Amino acid sequence: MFGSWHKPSTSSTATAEPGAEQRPAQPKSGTRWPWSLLTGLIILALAALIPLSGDAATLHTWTLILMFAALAQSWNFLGGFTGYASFGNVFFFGVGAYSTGLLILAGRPFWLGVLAGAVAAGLLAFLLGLPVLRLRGHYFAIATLGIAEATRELVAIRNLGGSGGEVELPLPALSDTAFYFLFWLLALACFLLTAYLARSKPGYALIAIRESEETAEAMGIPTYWYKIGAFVLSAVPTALAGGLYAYWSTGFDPPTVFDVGISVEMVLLTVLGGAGTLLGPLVSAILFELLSFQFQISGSTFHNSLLGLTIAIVTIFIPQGLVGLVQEFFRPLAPGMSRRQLLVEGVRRVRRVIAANGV
Amino acid sequence: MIHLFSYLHLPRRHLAHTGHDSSFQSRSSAARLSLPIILLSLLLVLFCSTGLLACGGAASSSNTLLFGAPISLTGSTATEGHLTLEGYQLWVKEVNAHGGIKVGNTTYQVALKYYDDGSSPTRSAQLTQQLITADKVNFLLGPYGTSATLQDEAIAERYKIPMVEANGAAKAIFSRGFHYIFGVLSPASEYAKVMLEAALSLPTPPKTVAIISANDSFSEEVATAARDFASSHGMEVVYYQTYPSGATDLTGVLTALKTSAHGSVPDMLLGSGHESEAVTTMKECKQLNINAKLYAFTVGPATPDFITSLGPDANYVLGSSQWTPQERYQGIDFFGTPANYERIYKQTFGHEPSYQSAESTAAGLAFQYAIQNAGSIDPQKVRDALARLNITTFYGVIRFDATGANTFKPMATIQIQNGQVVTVYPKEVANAQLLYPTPPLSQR
Amino acid sequence: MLVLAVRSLPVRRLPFHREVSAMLIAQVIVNWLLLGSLYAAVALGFSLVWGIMNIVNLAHGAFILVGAYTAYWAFTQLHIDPFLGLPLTMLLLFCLGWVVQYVAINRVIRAPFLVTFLLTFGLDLLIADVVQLLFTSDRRSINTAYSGFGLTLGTLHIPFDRLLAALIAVLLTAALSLFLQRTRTGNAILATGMDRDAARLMGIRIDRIYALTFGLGAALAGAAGAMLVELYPFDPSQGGVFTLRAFVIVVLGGLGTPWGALAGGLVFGLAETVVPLLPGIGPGYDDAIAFALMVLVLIFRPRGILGKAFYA
Repeated sequence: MFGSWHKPSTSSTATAEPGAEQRPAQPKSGTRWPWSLLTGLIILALAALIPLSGDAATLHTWTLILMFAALAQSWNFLGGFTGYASFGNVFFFGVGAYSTGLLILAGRPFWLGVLAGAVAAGLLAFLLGLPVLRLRGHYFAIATLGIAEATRELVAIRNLGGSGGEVELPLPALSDTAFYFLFWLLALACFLLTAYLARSKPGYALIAIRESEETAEAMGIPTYWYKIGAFVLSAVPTALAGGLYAYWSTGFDPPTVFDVGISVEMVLLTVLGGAGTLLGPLVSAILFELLSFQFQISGSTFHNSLLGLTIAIVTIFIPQGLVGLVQEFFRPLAPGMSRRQLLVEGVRRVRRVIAANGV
Repeated sequence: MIHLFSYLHLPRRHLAHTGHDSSFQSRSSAARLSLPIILLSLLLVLFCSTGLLACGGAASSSNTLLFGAPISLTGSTATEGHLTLEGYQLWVKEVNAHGGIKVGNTTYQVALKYYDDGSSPTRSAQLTQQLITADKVNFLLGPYGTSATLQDEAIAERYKIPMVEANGAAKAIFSRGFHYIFGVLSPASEYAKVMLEAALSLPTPPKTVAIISANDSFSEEVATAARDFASSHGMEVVYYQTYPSGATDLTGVLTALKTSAHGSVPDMLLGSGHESEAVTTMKECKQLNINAKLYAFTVGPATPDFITSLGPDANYVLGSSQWTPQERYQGIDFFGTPANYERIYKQTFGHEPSYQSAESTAAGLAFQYAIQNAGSIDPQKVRDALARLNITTFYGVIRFDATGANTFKPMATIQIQNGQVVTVYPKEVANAQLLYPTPPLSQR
Repeated sequence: MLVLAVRSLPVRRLPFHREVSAMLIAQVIVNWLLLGSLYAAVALGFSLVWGIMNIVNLAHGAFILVGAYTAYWAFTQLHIDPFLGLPLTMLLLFCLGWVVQYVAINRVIRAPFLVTFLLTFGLDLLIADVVQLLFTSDRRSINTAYSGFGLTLGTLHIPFDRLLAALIAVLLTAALSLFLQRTRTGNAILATGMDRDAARLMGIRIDRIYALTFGLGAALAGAAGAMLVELYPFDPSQGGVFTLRAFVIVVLGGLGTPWGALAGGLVFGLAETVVPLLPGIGPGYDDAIAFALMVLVLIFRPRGILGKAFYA
């Protein structure tokens, strides 16, 4: 990205394109993948027990957690695997919510609305991807942001499309538990899809794009079409989540479901957890949403400061994401080093850091 | 401990293989040493806040009625959110000082549990859920703003907990057929009407009016009602335009407006939007040398910081208000009169009450009398008592129509005169004459 | 094109005479130039930090907030005119930017761009919240003795404060451009932007250059904030609005040069001042048009209108 910025060239000299700039965690080595898969499945299985607690507030919070887990995981398909960071994924969320809302208002069953939203989002992702995925790095990020923001401004104009004002839906016929499991299924599907991508030919192709798009192209991978495929793949679950959200929350003010904050949250969760990893988005969605909700209900006047500080500290000290951190804990010892020596060396380094930072 | 440090020793081979820039890697590996400490402190924070929650949630003892409210204390409507909170707090303080709420032979003290929803409707709904099911509140007071109210009322409806809201005026809130939502404030269509009526009551009323409106649904509802009212009462609407909600600059709209009345400035400019847009309109009218004879804004002039941020330019501006301290109501509540409410409010918070605070206090009063009338704290019985409620308070009549909206209370028109808010319409409650025509902005 | 557009307005809506419409067009052009230049000031610091350091600084809006509130505080407490106090505000913001860079951002400067993106997001939350704690969420605005007054030529009106703000914005752009090209430090900044590693081999202290660049970016944001609080009401939730605008402006104008911010600002200002006057299109569409324009510029000319090879 930086490369194309100071080399007067078109995209062809893109040695430092997204691949090099945004290199999140590496493809996992052989033994780790099953463990990640197992851990993720255990987490999701435990999450399926939440409704047993019988506490509706917990259920509500965890429904949102699973929604954000699904959103972050579907962002990961494109952003994490190929390094193309979209800041406009909320567009698909809004498309899902909007089509569901309008179809319910037209008297159709909600599942039809959700499916129609997903199909519409997939088609739109394909059509928008055609021009936008020719852009790279920041420019792709900003183009997607522009699309989402332009749409938000358009839906804010009430007389457009005759919808007028808020989309108010009747109370849903489904119970909160049913919604919980719908979001749970969505999160599970995203997780399994990520697991498949991490271990399959199309997934390797996406990672190859992240590492070096030129090399991938030279090896005969049709990178452009793979990127568009990943874009569509990330749009569909996002729209499904949007549709479910619309029905679950019994309506919305149109600009709020196109809010750029939702896009930022998808990126935030994925990067905090570890972009391109299997477990990262899931784990960080749970931790981050719980933490930010705890801050919010702590009654503290500076809960936003606490959240900001937490994000800053985590990014400074764990730039590779939470999952990357955990993996380093389990890294085998370096050859020729006993655990005792390691401890001594560790303590020495801690002292040095403390001295250097003047703590 | 050994495991803890084993990751510190990064073999070179690993560096090469991750492909990160080596200087970044070494910097961050050094930084990572203090990670365990950081993580521990994070966990500690998490733990502490959970602990706080446990303490806070335990307020609902046997003789306390717990009222819950998600309010925007940060974000785009933080100012209004704080005014709302103060209104609720004043009611809680006074009702407890006057011995609480008597139900049969039991007297209940009142407690308020509120959360900051950060001006986000999604968060507001989540917090409403938290209030109902985790904090076990008995009743709900409304959030600030239409978007949040729309989401929260659905949760209240699902749990059949009555919610009296004081800060969402859009028709949409009451048109969904919900049974547990009540609003003490007059509906959106009244906001502009009362100012147009005030203008029409003048000996030589303004002939032409320009209406500009933000494009959120509340503001547009107000603006369309204003357009219909003006044109059916002999005022010519020479300009009608919406702009994006939250716009920071309106020079384009105002320049077009400047010549819209047959080549000259319209007699009256009516703005329907939010306080910041009202202030922007005034500042830019001065900058562009636009001098309408009358400026009127639905939201803004009644808020204290309208005058502080505009200074003398705020003078002669009209505003609509759900309530003013000058109105003459004789209420059955412990505040009694608007003037008395103003006095107690100033004593407590050190500044003038705005109508957002008064209507929030009124929401509390509605509950207080409904609970007394019901003789029970059962949500269903209180809901029925709310539906039947018909009282006059310091805030005016509180009575709900079949949809839950309070269509029985008139609004008032205020004008800023010499840096003070005075009531100029309706005549029965006015304490000053409407000044018109007004001097150009540069001579205020 | 502009003339055509305004002339073809339906008579029903704006039935004015020929000379009035000429004045209207002149007024619209004046509005546009003044607002566009102001927007350049909003985006200038953002453009510098992005161009040189490859950081999309989400805390930019927070710096604008701090600048606005510093000017407000200086005006109400110390009675310093916001324009005269501009150097003071900029100095304070420079220090803040320098510290933020040294303490936080330098630690992850080589990490993928998303990491710095997140870090600045966290800093934005933190700074904006501290501002709200210090100044409450009430809306603030500065009213100087001269605010709102201006030159009047017939029906054409040029407000002094906007004119001053626009002139300062252009001046800052020119000063930044000269600084980068004519001074050793400026050249070092450019060199670092072109090739960090080569610059380091030439003996340039990269961390210092970065802290300097970030400090400059913050100072420019502070200047924009100080001017904005004179012209518009301000509250702590508005930082994000201006970050987003800076984003769009920089993309429209291009990253290559400080003048790109000016070009982008003018294009963006066009949407807000002229679009409301076009027949059949209301001001409701102006932001939508600005964003759509941005996407189109990206697709057809990714380097922006004035974008050059690098920041020079």
